[in-house]
Amino acid sequence: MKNKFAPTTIWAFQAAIAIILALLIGNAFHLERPYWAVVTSLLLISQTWGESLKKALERVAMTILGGIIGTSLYLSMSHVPIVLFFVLIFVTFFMIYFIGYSFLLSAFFVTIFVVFLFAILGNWSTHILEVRIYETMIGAATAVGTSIFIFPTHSNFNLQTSFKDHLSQTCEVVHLGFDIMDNKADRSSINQVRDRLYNHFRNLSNTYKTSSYEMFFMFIPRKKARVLLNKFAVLLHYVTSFLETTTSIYQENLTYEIQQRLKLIQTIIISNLEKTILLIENSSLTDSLMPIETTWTELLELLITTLKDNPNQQDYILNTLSAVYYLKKINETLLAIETQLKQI
Amino acid sequence: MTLQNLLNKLWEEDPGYFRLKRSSKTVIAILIIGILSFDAPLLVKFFAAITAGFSMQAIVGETRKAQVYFILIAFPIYFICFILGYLSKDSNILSSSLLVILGFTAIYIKKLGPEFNLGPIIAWSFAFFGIILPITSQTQWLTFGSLAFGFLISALVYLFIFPELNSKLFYSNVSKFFKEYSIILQWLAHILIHKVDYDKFLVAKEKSKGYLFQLTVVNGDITQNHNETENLDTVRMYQIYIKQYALAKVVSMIFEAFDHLILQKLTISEIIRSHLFTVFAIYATAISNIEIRHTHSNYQEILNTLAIMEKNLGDFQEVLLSCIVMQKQSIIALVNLNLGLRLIFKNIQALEQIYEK
Repeated sequence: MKNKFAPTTIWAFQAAIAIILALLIGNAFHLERPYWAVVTSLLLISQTWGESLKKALERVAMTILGGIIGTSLYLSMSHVPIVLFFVLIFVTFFMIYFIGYSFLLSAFFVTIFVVFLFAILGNWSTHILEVRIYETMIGAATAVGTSIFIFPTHSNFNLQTSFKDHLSQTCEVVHLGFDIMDNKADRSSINQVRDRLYNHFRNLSNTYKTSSYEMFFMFIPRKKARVLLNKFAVLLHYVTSFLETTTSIYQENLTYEIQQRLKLIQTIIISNLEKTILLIENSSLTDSLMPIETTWTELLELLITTLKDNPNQQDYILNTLSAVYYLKKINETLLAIETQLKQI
Repeated sequence: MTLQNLLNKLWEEDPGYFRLKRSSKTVIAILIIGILSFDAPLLVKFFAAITAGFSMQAIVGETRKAQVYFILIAFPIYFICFILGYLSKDSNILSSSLLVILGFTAIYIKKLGPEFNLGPIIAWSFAFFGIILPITSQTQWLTFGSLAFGFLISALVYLFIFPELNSKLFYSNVSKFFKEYSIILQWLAHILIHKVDYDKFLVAKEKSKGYLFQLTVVNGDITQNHNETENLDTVRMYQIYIKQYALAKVVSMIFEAFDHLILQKLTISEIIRSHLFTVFAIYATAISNIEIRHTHSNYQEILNTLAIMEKNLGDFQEVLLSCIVMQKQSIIALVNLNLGLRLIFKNIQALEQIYEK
């Protein structure tokens, strides 16, 4: 079922509910330092439950590891206050250095920071460490629980949709390339279109990173999704390169035979892209993708012959040769994606 | 490991040194607070240091003016949140409601843009501190004073130590980009006349390509943050970034063609090879001369060089056209090299038009 609210609104509701739960648990069980659970619940709530789970596991693991290392360090140097201060400064540096870059490392340094901050204020013991660990666990559990049960957003579902969306956008870009060659589209639009495709791929990579933690709703196993993502990166490279070549090609300057074969290649590639989209929805589809080798070889021969015979058309032919090369690469990559999808 | 190696390594991890600058500034602010409040009670040091450390993390703004505005708006909000937390701490209902409402708002307003990413969470944290920290009516004014002291040091350190002026970084990245570009073209010219170990070629090309894309990605992020305030500078930066991206992409195309030639051990005629060498060498020199700054470029000076580039490219294309039909095996690699060289020329030429406007 699709949520009616915008993603940020759902996320905000989840955050508020996670805080309420953490506060209620703190009051009901008279937790010693309930604020740790409250902070943890707010910091771990993420846009998809896969991401919340990933953060929760990392936060709990690093609280235990950082807590043990921090406490051991503190106990071994507690008699030299100035050293405690410098360790605190050192840890502060790394805590901030890793914020927004590695949640795992920042969670590790945050815990050591807390140990030394409390130590400097004269109040740290193994008992407080235990309290910190289990209250972090409570906060993590409320965040994950809220993400799973209150308006859950699955990044794994998003991953499948993202792969499909990306192919749809790729399809549009390939269409645009052919339209540009045919003088049916504005040649200056390629920058905007290319940027959009590039950004979309970046979002797809992010979705992949978080989806791998949603173990029960696997659309694609993690390793295979990685391989697929790499193939999509290759496809992106060839599609954008193709687009680049089209800006200096004018189909009307090419011979009828060349135009016809280009049209045929266009039809095959667009059809292959559409089939790949269907294949992502249902990997058991039996309709295979078509190769373009025969048409491509004919086209290459035609282009070389034209190159020999018409010295005044050489510029266009050279550009077309490049475009045709990238079209072949696009189709080869689609065939590789098909093989990958059929193995899933 | 030399200092330069260390800086290079840090750059790879953190292109633009954004995180390095932010963490260094935070530590400096805390140390300054430690020194200035040396004789003050622990409470003052503690609150001021925590305030400086937290408040500095959310500051954003592309220009110093924007950063000052952000500080003038956000810091009083943090202060108010802290006071609200403190005033509600004795009532379970009030303090819980405050945390829930602020928690909701902090996430909800993220949709307004990147500048609302961390600031609202910091505001929530200040309310949270107000609730949980042991402040009494005897120490409340001292605490508020410490907070104000922390905010002041945070703002001053942020604005004046390792200032984060992204447009400056943007243009410095563009310079680095063209330097690296020139080195790559020189290296490719070298490959054309010397035998090359394919494995070495693979490693070197990945490294260079990675560096070019890193510089491009940082500039892409900077221009994305600029989107909110559209003026001539930001439009110009965006256009330069587009050219930078296109040029980085061209390098991938050229590498692919070289890959094809080297991996398939394809031979190219001596005349094409020598012309290609000349074009790459001339491009390398021309690109190393490009200087693009905030308000100007030295493009006028290199217009002549561009004319030479164009002439050499024309000569190469002529030779290519006369021999290409005999080069059936390597035809695709050669036309892709030709395309790459023309795209480089086209994109650099377009840079001039950006400044002409």
